[in-house]
Amino acid sequence: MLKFLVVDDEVDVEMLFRQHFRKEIRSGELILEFAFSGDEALRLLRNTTPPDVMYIFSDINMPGMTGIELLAKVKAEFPSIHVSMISAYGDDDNMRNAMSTGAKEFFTKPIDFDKLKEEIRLYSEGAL
Amino acid sequence: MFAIAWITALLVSAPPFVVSDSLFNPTTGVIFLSARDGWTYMPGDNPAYADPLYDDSAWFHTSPAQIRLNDDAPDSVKWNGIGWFRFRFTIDSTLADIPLWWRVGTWGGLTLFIDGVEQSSWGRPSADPDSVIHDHPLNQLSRPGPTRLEIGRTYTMAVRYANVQEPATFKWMNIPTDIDPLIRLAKPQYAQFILDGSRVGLYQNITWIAVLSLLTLVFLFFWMLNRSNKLVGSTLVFTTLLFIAQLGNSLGGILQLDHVRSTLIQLLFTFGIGFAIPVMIIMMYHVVGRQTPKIAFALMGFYIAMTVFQFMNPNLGSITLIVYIALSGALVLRRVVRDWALIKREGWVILVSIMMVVASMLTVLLTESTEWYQQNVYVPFTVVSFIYLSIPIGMLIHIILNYTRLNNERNQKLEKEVAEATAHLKQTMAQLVQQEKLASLGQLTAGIAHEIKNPLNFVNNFASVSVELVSEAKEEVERLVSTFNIQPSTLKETLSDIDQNLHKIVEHGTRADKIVKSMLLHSRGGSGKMEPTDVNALLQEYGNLAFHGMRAGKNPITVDIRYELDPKAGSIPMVAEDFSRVILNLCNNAFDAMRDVGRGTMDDGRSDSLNSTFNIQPSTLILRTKRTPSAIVIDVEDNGPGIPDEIKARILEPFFTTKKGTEGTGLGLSISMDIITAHRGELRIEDAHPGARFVIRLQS
Repeated sequence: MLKFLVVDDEVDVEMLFRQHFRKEIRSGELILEFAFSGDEALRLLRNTTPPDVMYIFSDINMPGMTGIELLAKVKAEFPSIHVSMISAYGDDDNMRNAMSTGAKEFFTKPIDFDKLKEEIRLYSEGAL
Repeated sequence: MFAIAWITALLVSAPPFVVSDSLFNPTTGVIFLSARDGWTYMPGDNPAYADPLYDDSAWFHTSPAQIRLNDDAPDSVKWNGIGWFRFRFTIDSTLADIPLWWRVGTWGGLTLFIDGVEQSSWGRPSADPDSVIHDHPLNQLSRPGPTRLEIGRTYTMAVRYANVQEPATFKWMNIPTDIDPLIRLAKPQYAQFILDGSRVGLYQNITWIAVLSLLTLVFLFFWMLNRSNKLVGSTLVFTTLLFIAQLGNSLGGILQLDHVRSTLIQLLFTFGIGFAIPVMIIMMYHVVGRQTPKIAFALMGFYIAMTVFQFMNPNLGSITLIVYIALSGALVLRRVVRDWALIKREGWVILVSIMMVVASMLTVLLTESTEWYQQNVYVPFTVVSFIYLSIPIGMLIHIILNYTRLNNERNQKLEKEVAEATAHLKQTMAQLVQQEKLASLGQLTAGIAHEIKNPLNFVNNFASVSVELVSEAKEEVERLVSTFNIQPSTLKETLSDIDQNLHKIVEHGTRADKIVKSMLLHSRGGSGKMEPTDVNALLQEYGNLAFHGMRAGKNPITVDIRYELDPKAGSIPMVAEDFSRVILNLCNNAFDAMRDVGRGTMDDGRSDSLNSTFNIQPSTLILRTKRTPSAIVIDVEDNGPGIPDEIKARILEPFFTTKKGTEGTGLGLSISMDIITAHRGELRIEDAHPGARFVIRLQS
């Protein structure tokens, strides 16, 4: 069973992800957690030791802690967790910044869920 | 015995020379006594010779004018360094009440005794050659004043005279070998003339030395300020030479020098003046900005040779100098005739100065032996002042005129430049404001685009997931229908409609996303990555984009867009986002140019019929590619009015625009040029007859 965490300040993201991954969630192969800020995400990760989240998809532009700051903290505290960024600002600087801080992939908004599903499939095959 | 001897002497000796008023030169008021008969001469020295009663019957009957310095002269006229002359004279009644002055003219030392009483002394005669002081023949009058001579009384004049100069020196310098004590008697008018002349001469010498040294310093200063000014340099040389000449002249007159030294110092004058003359030719050539001709130097060489020759042959007079000055004047005039246009501005001042100097010099040389020149002490002063001052003063006037003219020209030029710069600045400011507006608009666009992406994300993704949900719902309905055999009349159709609508939402959402992406692309200026790009495809894509952009814009025109693409053009590494801007810019410029012609501005088809009626070519934009072995050439050609040459030169400058007001930023072509240069390409502007052709050549 895979446990993913999605971090985005837009609450509708939860509905969108749950609907897109409804089959995987229904079959129990995927558990999705949601956090609406970087702080909330970190709190959630620290709840269990070691954290049961395996993969984080995070927005970059958020009030408070940005996605890049969150990425840096997660990589420092929980190096085994994969983090990919999802952002509307898909320019070179942003992308290079994310990759150099340790992001696994960079997805642009509007989210291409086919690509996202492919990434999750690849990850689960490697993880299982 | 003594009395007999005395009487005998009286009887034997000739009667005294009678000095009468009629013997005086009526103009000058002077009588020369040296050459008269009745002189006796005895070499050697004895104070008793001054005594009127001394018996000089054994003396030579030689006048002072007959004495020669030659070594081989006979004893009667031979000179041994010191000797005595005696002369007996009386004055008649015509000279009653006229005070008479003694006037001598000698380079030696001389004491004059009348009846054994010393009258006056010039220099110092002495039997010891080392003690002799030589005097100068200038202004030698009896001191302190005139003598009163009794009418009818016989006077005995005794002259003690010493002159110990080397005859050899005289020979070498070719100074006449007579010693000429030149004893004269002068009336007050002559004495007055001499005294005036002496005083004026002193004033003149001091004045000229002062003025010339001052002028030399002034021009030295000018020259140091601007060493490249050859005209000032030659004026400095001229003034310095005149200063040297005058220094020679003044020292020769003021200092009590012997004959040889005086002559040597006077040489300064000869050569100072002589070398100053060709400088005037050089100056005239500098006025018209030409190299000094060799003939000026040849003339100078000729002068030096002639001066030496003349020195050896003093009887030639000043003919050499006259020829020399006349030739120099002719050379100057020749240059003037040939370059009159250049002299007109302010060079004529120099010309006038030079001609005044030439005229004054010739005046001196031609009239210096006349009474007019000699008797009027102010004539030499005036003429020589012209020689000295004409050129320096002319040069000062020249400098002032030249400065004033250049200053006026510079001021006019500056005013024009300031006006142009101000106009340009205003234009640039307007364009910068526009530029700033565009930049902030770009940032705003980017911001809006990003913010739109977020809601778009939900629209697209909720729509696409809804498509899935609807299809799942459809399957569910199918299953329900087959299981329970119900026929829901409209549910399936409704679901199909929803499915269709959701597809439409996805389709248009995707379209909106594309628009946002291209907006971002233009506001951001590209990623700067060089990637192989199909040139033909790029040209076609952005040619069409520019065309549609123009048609959708404010002022659409009817244009045929024609592609003449070389299929072998292929790909070339380029930053496509940047390079596309070049294509867009060039196309937009072409549209603007063709719009200006006024063809096809009407968009209702009438223009086309008008064009065909009058056989006017319709506006056409040709985009062309051509593959050459080393490059890909892209042409953007229009058939508009073309580009005038004066604009062509400036068209690539940043902020240069022919478009009115805020229509153009003036940066389009400049940025295009930068982009092309960054691609190691070049941009050329050609005439297309009619119209303009922008040719981009990219190295492959």
